Amino acid sequence: MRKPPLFNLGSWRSLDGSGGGSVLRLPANHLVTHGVVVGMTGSGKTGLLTVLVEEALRNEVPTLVIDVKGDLPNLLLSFPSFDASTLAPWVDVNGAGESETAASLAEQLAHERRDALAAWSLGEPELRAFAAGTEVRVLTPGAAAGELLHVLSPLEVRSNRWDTDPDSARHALSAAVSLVLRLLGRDSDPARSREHVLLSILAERRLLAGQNAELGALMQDIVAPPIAEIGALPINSFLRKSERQHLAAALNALLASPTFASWRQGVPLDVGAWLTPKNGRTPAVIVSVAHLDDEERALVLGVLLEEVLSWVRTLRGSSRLRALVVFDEVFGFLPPHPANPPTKRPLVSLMKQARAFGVGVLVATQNPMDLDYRALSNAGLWSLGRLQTDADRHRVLDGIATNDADRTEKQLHQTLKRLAPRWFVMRNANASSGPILMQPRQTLSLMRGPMTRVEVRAAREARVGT
Amino acid sequence: MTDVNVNGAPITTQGLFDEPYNALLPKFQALAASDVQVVNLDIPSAVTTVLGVANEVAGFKDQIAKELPLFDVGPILQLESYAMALSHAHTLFAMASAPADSLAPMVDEGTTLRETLLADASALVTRNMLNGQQLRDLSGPVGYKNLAFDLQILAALFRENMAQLTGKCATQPAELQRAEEISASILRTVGLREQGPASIAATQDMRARAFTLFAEVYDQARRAITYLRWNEEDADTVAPSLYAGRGNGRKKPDPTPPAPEPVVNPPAPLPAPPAPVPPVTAAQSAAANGSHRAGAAGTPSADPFVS
Repeated sequence: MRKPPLFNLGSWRSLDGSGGGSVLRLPANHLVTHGVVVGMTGSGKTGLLTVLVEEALRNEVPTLVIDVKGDLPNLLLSFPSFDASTLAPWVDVNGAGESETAASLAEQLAHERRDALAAWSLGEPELRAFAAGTEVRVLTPGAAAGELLHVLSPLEVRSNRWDTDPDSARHALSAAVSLVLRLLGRDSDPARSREHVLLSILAERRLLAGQNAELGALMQDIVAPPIAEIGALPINSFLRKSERQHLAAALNALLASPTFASWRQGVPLDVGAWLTPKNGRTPAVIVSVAHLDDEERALVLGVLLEEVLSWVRTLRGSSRLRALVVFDEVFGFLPPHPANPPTKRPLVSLMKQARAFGVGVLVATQNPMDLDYRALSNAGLWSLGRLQTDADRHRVLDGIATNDADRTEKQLHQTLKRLAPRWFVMRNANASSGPILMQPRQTLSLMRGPMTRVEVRAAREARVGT
Repeated sequence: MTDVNVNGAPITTQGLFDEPYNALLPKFQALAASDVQVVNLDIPSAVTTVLGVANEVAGFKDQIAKELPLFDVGPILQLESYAMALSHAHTLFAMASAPADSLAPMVDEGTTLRETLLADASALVTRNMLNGQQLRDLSGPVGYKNLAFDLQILAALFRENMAQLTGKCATQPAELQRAEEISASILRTVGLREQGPASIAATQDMRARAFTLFAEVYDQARRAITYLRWNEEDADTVAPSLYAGRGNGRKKPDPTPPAPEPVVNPPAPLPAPPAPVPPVTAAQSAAANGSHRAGAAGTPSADPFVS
């Protein structure tokens, strides 16, 4: 049987800090049972996530990254060498001395990176191999900084899933309809909104009949319904004609809006195609929603996660890691009961079911108070970084079950309290050893911090032809 | 510079930095322009680091002579001097490139004061209490130097005739004083600006030359130390890189990172049952049993805990 690839994550020590910093190699299949990274701002959480993604890509594991804060597009800044000229556009000249130019700062940065990576036995050959072996894409729904994403494709474009798995297709449709209603400023709750019910029924009718369900066609159906009843009620009793006309008018205005056009253009929502390697390069697809407001994010990510779930269910069973789904920052998207944002259902389902298909899910948060720990209870790999308050530390330790009889919660709490930045307490349910201290290696990608839309565009343009 | 030691006797520190600078100046000047490097480090931090390790590096003098007979040990015995010379060159550059006082507030105040003094003087000329000839020497308020000289002329005019004007005009001695101060400030600032670029360029060039030789000498020192301390794997502790952990000064000695090993091809299979981590090596175990010394943040041997 083929041995699983090993992820070179960095170094480790015993929980009391002793030991000289041995290399930490994590078998890839340990991530099939999912992972959680928790740490306050500045704890090194994004660095650890970036290392995990880089190692997945280096081991030919396609990765889908959901980026909420704008940090993970830094993966675009993986240069094939230490050439200072490639770093010059990314140095910060604000506050530099009079004699310092971008070029001199870039030289300085290149030296720093060379030395920092050398400490982890990494150098230009690894940079070159990583840049040549990966294809990093950034999708920005509703904005042209990255590639546009046709977020409404589960609604408007008929997929074969309606023939093979109509339930998952229906869930994806529901999420897309919620997004449309949100953009119209109307109630988008599928359980409560009559407009949601009407649109979903009209769309499904077309899709089951083998047609597309473009919004323009649906608008006609709203005004002149091809159905007489909804549930047990005549349609005019369910939603009066005047209300339907108002809905159609609002939809028409939305269709005419140039801003809305950006939600319906671009790459179709096809996770399977995204994560298929092309030209020998392992894909990393980053869906960045940093530019959206909270509600839009929840709706767009709800649509996306439903699609991910549907795709996972099309795969054959596997115990090896065939894909990784990373979600940074999950705060607000997987809250404890009774909150139920559009992202929660598909995320919980993924945490329960994706392991059987070899898809690992890795979620990260800086807020351990607002997590559904029950949903995360079967996550195998927990990485706990510095946390701000005792309450945070207690919460996260309460939430994870430690079955190491020698480690009391008090000991772990004290260890967490003393933790330096960029260090994590790592507990791996797949390992026979107890919790350890780990420090992620230096990233191959330049960690520039949250990237603006302009920077994402510039980074993508710089990569064309590499 | 003078300071006082614990016994109250004065200690002069003059020469601590400029003497090494002056002694090495011919070498700086002898560098070809094409060999001068761009300054790519924070100089105060780099100087601090090297001053912290210079004595220890010098302690390897005999071992270098024995094991590296062809190695020129002379320069690295002067590491401290090169560091101090660089520090002085940096100080000279910093002084030359300090921003000149802002002119705008002085010009505004000076212009208003000129108008006030001119109005008073004109009135006195009309009443034949002042000779108007001197007012013809005024250049007008446009231009820093013109404004400065006009203020001087007006202040001088009133001072010369102060005896007969007292009680007959509103101009106060404090205003004349202020006019002279503003004039002097403007002229000094303008003078600095005119001389500034040349002065800055010269000190910048010398600083780069001092940095070039400093970096070269320290590089040589690191080469020698790396060779001598290869097996102990603590070269970075004796002579740390100036490009890593900047600003941390002398780092605590570390137990050494593991020897470089390939990442993609692990050296040994995992023991069964599978564990996420390989066993600690003998060297690392020995370090754990002995005194634990942490390396710089972000390196494999960094301290996992805050103090």
